[in-house]
Amino acid sequence: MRFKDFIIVKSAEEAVSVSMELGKEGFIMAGGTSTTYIADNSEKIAIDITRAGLSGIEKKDGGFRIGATTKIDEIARFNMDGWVLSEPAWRLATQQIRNISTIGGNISRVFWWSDFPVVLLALDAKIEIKDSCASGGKTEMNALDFFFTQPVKILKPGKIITSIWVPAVGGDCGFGYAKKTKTSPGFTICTTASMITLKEGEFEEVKVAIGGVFPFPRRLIELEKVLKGKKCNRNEVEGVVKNVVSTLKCAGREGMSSEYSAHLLSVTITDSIFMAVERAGDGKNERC
Amino acid sequence: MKDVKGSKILKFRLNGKEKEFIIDPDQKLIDLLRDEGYTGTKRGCMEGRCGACTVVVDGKAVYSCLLYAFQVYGRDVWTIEGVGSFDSPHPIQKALVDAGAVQCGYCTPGIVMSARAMLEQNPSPQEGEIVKMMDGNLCRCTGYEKIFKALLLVSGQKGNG
Repeated sequence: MRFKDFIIVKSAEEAVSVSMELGKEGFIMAGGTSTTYIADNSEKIAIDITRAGLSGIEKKDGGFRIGATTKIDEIARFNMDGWVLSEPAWRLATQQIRNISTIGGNISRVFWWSDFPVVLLALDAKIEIKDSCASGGKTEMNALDFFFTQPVKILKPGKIITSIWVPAVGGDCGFGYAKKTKTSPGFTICTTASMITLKEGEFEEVKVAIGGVFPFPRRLIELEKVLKGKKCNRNEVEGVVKNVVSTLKCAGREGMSSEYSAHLLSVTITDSIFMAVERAGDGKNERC
Repeated sequence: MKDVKGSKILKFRLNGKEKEFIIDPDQKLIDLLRDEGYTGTKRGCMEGRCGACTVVVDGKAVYSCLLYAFQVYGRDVWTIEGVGSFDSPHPIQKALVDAGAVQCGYCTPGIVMSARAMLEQNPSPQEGEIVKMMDGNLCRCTGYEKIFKALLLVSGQKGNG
């Protein structure tokens, strides 16, 4: 992909308007780090939205509203009760990347290594999209629907992500995140995120999302159904996880076999579930 | 920015001075800097991994090989040329030399820029934070120990060995 021109917009409204005008020739851009990985010979006009007032984090509606152009570094450093995104943010690539990349960019074009789609799926996040064709000028999608397909297919000209809402995690809820890489800032081999709610030693609610070992991140609904209502016992959970993973076709990454990837996935899922278990109900869901 | 014969004029602050350059919209920041004589910023992997191209934009260390030049419009950019001098080196540069943390020197400008940004944000980082904040700079020569020792010294702390 090659840029033949660029426009720096000052507001979300301007971004949407310019995007509509340019159509497929326009390319909404924040940090732009993913452009390196886009195999495309077309010429585009960059619509730089980093000065459109779309960054920042605020507490809202029982959770947090994160502006789409909020840098990963800011997400890593944010600290408030119920905030669980610091750990995934600190594990993302290197400091130089965290200083450029944005959460909106990390989810608008999903690669197999993308981390935040996995996190947002587990958290059942909501993605707000400014949409010139929608009534009220905006729509909101839950993460499960948003990541059902490659988001660029949803984000047609005239649509931009403006913010992401995530719940504050606390009380009997816990969140766990496990990412395996070959080197500390390397691309993921396997990423899992789990959000659980415990009640009297049993899983009342379970959400597990995975990435890295598949071309696209996903929730493990089949695992969630099996675990719901089960006792929170590590040995039993390991067995259940192993059974579910055995039905999946995992990609081998970094020279690993698909069989080993599946084994790694099983271990990582169990780890993230029990990280969440440890943090549920004991105030450990603040910044890591 | 203005159009000049199909290119753009880009204005930003470079090493403390207001500058104006004619750019191609597809031009990466590293290419602009090096073409304009700021060759202290090095080409390494050119895909945002090694850190040899690190510069500081608005106080944050970034890979200039990933940023498009237009992205720094109106911003404050620092390259290694703006840090210390041969006769008056920056404390980070002096610490790296004193600690024996410079061998081939190719990664060093990037390391100085990352370290400078880190220390301006937190003048007294712990060893774990230094390791984390410097994780985007690779060095094939030194094995990193002396680099970390130098940065601990310049931040006023002693390392473990």
